Amino acid sequence: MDILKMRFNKKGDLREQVPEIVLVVLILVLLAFGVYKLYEIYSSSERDAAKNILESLVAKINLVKGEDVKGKVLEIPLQGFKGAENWFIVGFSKDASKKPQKCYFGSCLCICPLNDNDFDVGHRTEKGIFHGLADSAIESCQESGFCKYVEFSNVLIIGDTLIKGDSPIKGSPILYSDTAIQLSNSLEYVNISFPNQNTLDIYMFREVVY
Amino acid sequence: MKGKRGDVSSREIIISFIAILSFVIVLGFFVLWRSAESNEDDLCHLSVLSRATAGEISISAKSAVPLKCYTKKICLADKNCEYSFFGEKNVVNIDLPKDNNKARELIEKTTADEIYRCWKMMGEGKLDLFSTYAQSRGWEQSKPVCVICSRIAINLTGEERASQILQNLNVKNYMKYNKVPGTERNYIESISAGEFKSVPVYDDEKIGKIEQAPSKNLVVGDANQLAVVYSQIKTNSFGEVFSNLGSDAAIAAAGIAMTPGVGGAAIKAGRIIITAVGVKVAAVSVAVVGAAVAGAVTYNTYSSQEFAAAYCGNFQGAEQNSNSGCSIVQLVPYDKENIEKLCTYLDGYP
Repeated sequence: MDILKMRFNKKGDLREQVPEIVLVVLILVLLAFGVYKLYEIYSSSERDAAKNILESLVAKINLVKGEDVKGKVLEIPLQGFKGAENWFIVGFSKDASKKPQKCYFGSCLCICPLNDNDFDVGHRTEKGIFHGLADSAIESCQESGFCKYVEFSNVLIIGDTLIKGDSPIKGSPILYSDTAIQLSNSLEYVNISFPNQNTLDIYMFREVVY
Repeated sequence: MKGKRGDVSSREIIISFIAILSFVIVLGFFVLWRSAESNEDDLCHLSVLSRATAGEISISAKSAVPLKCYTKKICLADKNCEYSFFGEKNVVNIDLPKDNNKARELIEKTTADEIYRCWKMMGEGKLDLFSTYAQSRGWEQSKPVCVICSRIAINLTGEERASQILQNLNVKNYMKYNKVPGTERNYIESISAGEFKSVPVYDDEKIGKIEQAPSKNLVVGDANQLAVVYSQIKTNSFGEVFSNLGSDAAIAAAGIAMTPGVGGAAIKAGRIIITAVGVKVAAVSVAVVGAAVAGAVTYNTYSSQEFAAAYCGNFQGAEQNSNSGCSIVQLVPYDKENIEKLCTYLDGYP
């Protein structure tokens, strides 16, 4: 104890420690700043990529809507990226009862980070199993997604996935239909059509073989 | 002198100097990073190096480092490339000369430069960027992963001009007979010099057939685009895989042994099992499980090597030993069919 007291009670000991403490604090602050900057740079990439896809899609839709495209189906390529499978293209019509606040004044197209819980339990249709969006999807679009208005009263979005092979339900291939289109980390196409002046139809078909 | 209050010792001066120096170094790093942020090529290369370095420390850390590589969009056109890039950001527009030969040469030069830029930016075929922990342990088969470095849209006015330019386009010859600016080597020599087999690949016949944007009924599409794609597949030898598994097992065993209470409990549990089922049954069970694991690992490693040999052999020729994988820079039409043939999935950003 005496030895310890002697070591720490010496006059000027604290003064000697000050530069070292300052150095350590300075380095820690810089390190924290560096880590934060790295995180900021890296985490923004995925969001930026998703946002760019939405902007480019809406720009292309706006470009072609003035042309004579009635009855034509436009194929627009969507180049995937790492982490793209977390993002979904969803649409909200002008009169939709539930939609994000961001889309309050009209119809819009959004790209939002969603997961399985953001879809309802689904119901069987003639085609297969249909999943709509759950309320949490709308919250996710409002909080973490990006939305852009489109000049169509009705926006229909369908992502079909045909599962072949050992599908969860054994037997013949089964079709899952979602009211959202999941992005992927490869190059894929969305089909865009305009059944009438007020309707925008975006469709993607995918085949998965297990 | 030294004892006087307020005096500054040499130790304090040194510490203060180190503090300032550290601050300057860290500040310099951020200045560099900020300049890299403004230059997409530098940022991509920095992220490539970060990922490769992370992989050297721990292969699991590699996937946590994203590649900040954005697809560069280049428009080589008589008018514009609205057909291809409408609504997309950062498009580089290059006007083509009216003379067909000069226009062809400019397309060839731009394409060759992009292939070289892609190869350089992605680490010159020397860095393992995409292999995963599961692949290095033989749990999963290796697959080729790609980054689309550039999309080059060619938009020519008039069918005759388009056919004259595109039919005579020969990127391969351009890369063979022209030196990379600032070097003494031609494009092909430069790219093939990578240690981790790297080759430029192109199919002039396919490229010559790329469609032109329809002059009427403006629509959008990708039919007139080429993609410069960097793909890489890397496999491990049987020795590497089993050595990796061995070191994992050693680390796990050491972890169990050194964790208070767990080591003793594990030994006790082992003794109880041996007493209950008998030494022979326990030994046979361990041998069966071990053989099954070794079989699965061997099968995956063998399949990966076969796949890599077939994939790389397509581009490098059968005489090359491609079992260990390859890095390839390719110029292909930008469409699902061609990209899917090359890549299991895409990395980088559009």
